[in-house]
Amino acid sequence: MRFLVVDDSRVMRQIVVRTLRQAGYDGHEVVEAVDGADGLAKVAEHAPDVVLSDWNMPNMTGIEFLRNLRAGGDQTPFGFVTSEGSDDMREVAEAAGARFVIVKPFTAEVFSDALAPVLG
Amino acid sequence: MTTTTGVAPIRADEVWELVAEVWESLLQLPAIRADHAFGLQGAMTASVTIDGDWTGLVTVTMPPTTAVAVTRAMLQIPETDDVSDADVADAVGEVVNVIGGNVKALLQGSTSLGLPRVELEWAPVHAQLVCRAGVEWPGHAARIGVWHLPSTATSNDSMGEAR
Repeated sequence: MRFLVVDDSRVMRQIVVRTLRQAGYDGHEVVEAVDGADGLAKVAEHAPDVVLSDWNMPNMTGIEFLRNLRAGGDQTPFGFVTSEGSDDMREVAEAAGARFVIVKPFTAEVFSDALAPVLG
Repeated sequence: MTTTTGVAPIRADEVWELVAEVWESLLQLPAIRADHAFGLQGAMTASVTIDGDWTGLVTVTMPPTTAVAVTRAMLQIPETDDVSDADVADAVGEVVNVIGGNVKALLQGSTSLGLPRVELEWAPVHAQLVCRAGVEWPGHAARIGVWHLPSTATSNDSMGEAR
């Protein structure tokens, strides 16, 4: 399995990768990207099984990243890991095709619950 | 101390709940509420702006040694290894980003969150204090503030003047 973790904070990418491990997804390949534009390039290059993306990033935000992916016909399962978890934002995320929204701070259990239905 | 404005009735208790959760799950550190003041000399400040129907900012202030401890906790860096300034800025910026995002979720109306900004020295906030909460854990303390700014004053220049 291959994960793509997209966040402009290196610290947060590292915490997400660690939490994936704690959630039972140990030993899988993880690719990192620093913003939405980098994320788009990494999806094309690495064909991940799932994308976990921050929302608020410079250059290209997470929602722009998702919309760009879908506009290009890419249906890679996509979820947000964000510090903003309002109902409005969840609606926008789901309408754009996101499978889940994980709100920071999070626990390994939250990761398991969000990823299990997506990854089977 | 709890002060509220009519436009953003955010209470210190609510901020404290967010802070405790961030400390326990993001930093994996025990958190005790401690609203007493601490010396700001040499402290560093991280902030994130909130814009829209309510405008203001969320700040985290802590001494540099505490910022290094926070970075070690987040990145699980042992005491024997060095911590770079870039990692400290990133880690403390992410702490204020997560708290800011959760404060934003408490607000009515439509708002957007800015990107975190980290000052390596104390940056007095030129804004009206809404509320603040202090957190303490063995050997360290930090203070989290929520500030209201008139909408016209929200800009990158909103910090830096003496209050």
